[in-house]
Amino acid sequence: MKFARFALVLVVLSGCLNKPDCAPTATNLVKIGFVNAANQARPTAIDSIRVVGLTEVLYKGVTISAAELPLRPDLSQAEFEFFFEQRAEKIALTYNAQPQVISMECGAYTIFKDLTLTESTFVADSVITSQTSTNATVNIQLRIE
Amino acid sequence: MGQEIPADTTRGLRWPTGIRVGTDLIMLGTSAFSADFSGWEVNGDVDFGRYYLAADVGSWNREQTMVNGLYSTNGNYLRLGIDVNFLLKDPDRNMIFFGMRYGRTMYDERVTYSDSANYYGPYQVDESNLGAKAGWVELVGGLRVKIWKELWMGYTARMKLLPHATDNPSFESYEIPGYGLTFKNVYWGFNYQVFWRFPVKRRSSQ
Repeated sequence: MKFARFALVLVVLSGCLNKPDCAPTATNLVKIGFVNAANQARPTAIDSIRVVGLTEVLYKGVTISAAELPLRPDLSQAEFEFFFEQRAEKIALTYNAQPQVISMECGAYTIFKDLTLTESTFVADSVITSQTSTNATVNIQLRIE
Repeated sequence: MGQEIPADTTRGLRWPTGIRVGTDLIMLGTSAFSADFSGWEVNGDVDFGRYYLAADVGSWNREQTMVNGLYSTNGNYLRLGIDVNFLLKDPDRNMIFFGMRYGRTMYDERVTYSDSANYYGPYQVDESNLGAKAGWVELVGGLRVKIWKELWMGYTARMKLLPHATDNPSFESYEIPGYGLTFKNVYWGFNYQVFWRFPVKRRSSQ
């Protein structure tokens, strides 16, 4: 009986407590992780990474094991070209850029979800998390041998 | 010989004695004094002894300014359900009741806002969900009191649960007409209602 009363109070109060989180985690940056055959982070000497349709060249002359690459909010597909260790690799992906209304005080943001790899020249690849987020550790994992 | 129908509320199903039709004064007041909301609600019920078949029809239109844009939702809704009167054998058929409702709505919602994307800069978004549909469940409780002749007043508290929206392809619904904000899995509603009761006279059998 005590538990039933406690549960009832919790249900009643839950109507007041579930306010939206105002800190936006939405981002148009998809996080790419490079891994070796043992599925461990693989530092890679990048000559450059190019986003098809963007004139800016990203990550020029750096050694990294992860990269954040931008998705266009008005499109639903992207292509990235990777030049490293005298190799050229490419991936293509589709996604869904969708508005999300948080609240009148916090506003609305675009979320990028349903990430799907449609093409990849890497040895192996996988989508780890299909929605971009400032909290996500990695969205897409690419294996380099 | 005609069978006599008891005038008071008793256990078990009975032939209806009246249909009550009313409206929610809180919604009318909110509509009159709010800059961003307009709506109305018509409530009705019919008695079958201590059990009442209840129906609500409403309109809900809201347009609000966000920090980075505008959001609007417009739609009509219908709630159907049953109330059970726990005030038995009252000569005036006053009610203290509990019941359930299932609500359905069809609505249009639109969001326009400005945002900014890394490397691509600022951009504008204008998206709509036209003809979206949603449903929810309500646990209700309240009272109805006879004020004068066939004039009744009452309160209804609503505990709204389990919102589920469909046909909203452009974005996840933010506010469902008749329910409220979708991210609240439990939502409270309150009505202060006036009714007029139309007695149903049963034709006596030959």
